[in-house]
Amino acid sequence: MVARFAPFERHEGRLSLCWPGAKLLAAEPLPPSGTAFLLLALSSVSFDGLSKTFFWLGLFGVNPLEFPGRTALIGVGSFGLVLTFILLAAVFALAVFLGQRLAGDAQSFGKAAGLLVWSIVPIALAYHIAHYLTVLLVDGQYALVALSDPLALGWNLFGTADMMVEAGVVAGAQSAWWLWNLQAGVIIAGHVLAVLVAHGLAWRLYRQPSRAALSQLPLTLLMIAYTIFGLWLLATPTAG
Amino acid sequence: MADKNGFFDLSKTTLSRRTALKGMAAGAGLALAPGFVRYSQAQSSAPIKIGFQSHRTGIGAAYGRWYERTSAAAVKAINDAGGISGRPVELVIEDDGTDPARGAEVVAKFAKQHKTDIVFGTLFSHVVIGSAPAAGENKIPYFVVSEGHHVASTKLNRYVFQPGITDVKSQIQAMAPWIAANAGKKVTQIFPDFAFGYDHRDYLPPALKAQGADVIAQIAIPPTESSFTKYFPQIPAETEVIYHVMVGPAVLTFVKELGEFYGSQRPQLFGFIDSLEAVDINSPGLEFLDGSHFWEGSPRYAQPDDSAAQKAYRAAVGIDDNGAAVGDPKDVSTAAHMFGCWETLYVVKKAMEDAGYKGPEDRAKLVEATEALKEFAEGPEHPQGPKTFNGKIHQCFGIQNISKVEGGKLKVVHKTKIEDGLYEPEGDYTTQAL
Repeated sequence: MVARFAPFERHEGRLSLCWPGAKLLAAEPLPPSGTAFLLLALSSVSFDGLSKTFFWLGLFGVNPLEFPGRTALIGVGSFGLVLTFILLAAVFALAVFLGQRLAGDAQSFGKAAGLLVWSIVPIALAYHIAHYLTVLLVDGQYALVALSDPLALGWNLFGTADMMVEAGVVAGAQSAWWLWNLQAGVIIAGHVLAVLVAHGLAWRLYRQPSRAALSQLPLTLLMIAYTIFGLWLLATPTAG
Repeated sequence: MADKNGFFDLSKTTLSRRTALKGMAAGAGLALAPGFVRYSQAQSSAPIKIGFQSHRTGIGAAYGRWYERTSAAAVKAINDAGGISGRPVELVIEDDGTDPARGAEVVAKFAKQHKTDIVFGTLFSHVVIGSAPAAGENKIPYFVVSEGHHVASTKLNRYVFQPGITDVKSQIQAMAPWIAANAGKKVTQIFPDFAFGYDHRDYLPPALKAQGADVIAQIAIPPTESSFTKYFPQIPAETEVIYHVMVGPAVLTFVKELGEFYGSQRPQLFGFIDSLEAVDINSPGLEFLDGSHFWEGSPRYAQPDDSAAQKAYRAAVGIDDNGAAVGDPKDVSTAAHMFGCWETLYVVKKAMEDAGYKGPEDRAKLVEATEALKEFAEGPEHPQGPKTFNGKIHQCFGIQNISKVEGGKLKVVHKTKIEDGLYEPEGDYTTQAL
């Protein structure tokens, strides 16, 4: 799924450049399970962000400064994970359905949803990058340490076994400026790409500019709302 | 080779009790021969395994990283000097996610799976409180570096010790004489409205009272608050000192807004560095703290009068003169707390050597040997300063630093005495069965 957004393609045995997502112009609509999978990919990372916000913790009376640990929140977390998926799936389905009505479409809902859901991929990808960037930069170092001694037998295969994990890369005002801009940039780029992809797919569905544009109205609104949500997630205080 | 005397022909010889004893005596003689000593030493030079319950992830991660560095440096220093009773020390690290339930599992895992000799290193109070019962059930000594009052309160159990860092009740009490004498007699407290803040809310007023000063207002701020200006009008006009212990992501906003509220005419400010541990004191927005005072367990910045032991400790752990990682000036350490890991490991060494500790079967002896400790002299093993230890409440008491923010650095202006922080014991762990 992600590979379809690669900026390379193989053309008659030769590697050439292409627009990210261009390969989708020939993609088949996804079956319902594929549609659900992509929505889950986005809803799960969204909830992982939401679950750490003061807002979410406050809803359940949890003091974020005295975060009780993940174990104490397994119930709340599982509930939120499922709830986010149901909400996103419902809103997405509604947007596709309304789009079909606006465009006066007679095609099956499943086909339209299965095709348009491809536009979720760049958003899910962008959210994963933005959300896990700092984790990757710091906790990724623990993976490098573990790689040198994967079985805890005192090995030092790559000379990283005694490496100190440094957090300076994510500390301080300057790092915060870079990280924020990078994260916000990735989220916006993901959404822009998603809108372009959705329009391309809508053109495939309707073959008539006015109908294609109308069909995209609800989905565009959803994208705008989700962008705001994503940027809010980056800015709001979090714990854990 | 011919067996001329038939020694190996079992049919010709019978093993009498006398020859058996001779053989055993020869074996004992052999054990004393030089070649054998090395072997017997090899037998007992299996490493002492210390289970390190680390906050690698979760809200304690910044502390966890520095606790790991400090502990690794201490273990290296101990091993370079011959280990504990001649045995090398090995740290076995498990991440507890700063999660009390996971913490208890980690303690049990150390006891049953890794079979470590002790468990060590926990900071966050709720993880200590959540893990302590597991240490008691598994009868494994649990040395925490938490600064919480929970160990000294004697509400935990006989296997839990805090010999490397003074508890928060003592820290707060020790601040009172200096505040009353130097900052002002009318104090307003601003604290987060939960347990961390309550320690300060409850322990400071009586300590100040004893010094002839008063807390004239206590302002509790909800933990989720992100803007503070609306609380500042509650600060009485006659306030001479604002005592603040805000923590969390909004600390920078708190300081900035307090600065905007007061401008250049402000009361004295006194805080606990916990608010800004692992945060650069020169971060934008913190300019308002210039000239204010902070508690520090151990000074973040190198001081002109640092002892040789303090210098050696800083070099071993790898922090520069500004208290950041050598080679990464942005990675600011948790200097005020992490020295406790270094000192605790040396207490463990002392107690194990006193107890003649051989292995897990001697854990009870280790508990008693630790309880028998009385004081730790300042030096390479205790670079933060001298300490006394109360074996009944399993808590040490040391000196505290009061530092002034000056030119973007923290300069120690006062060191408290150990007596400033002593209080009546609230119980006695030694009456509990082992």
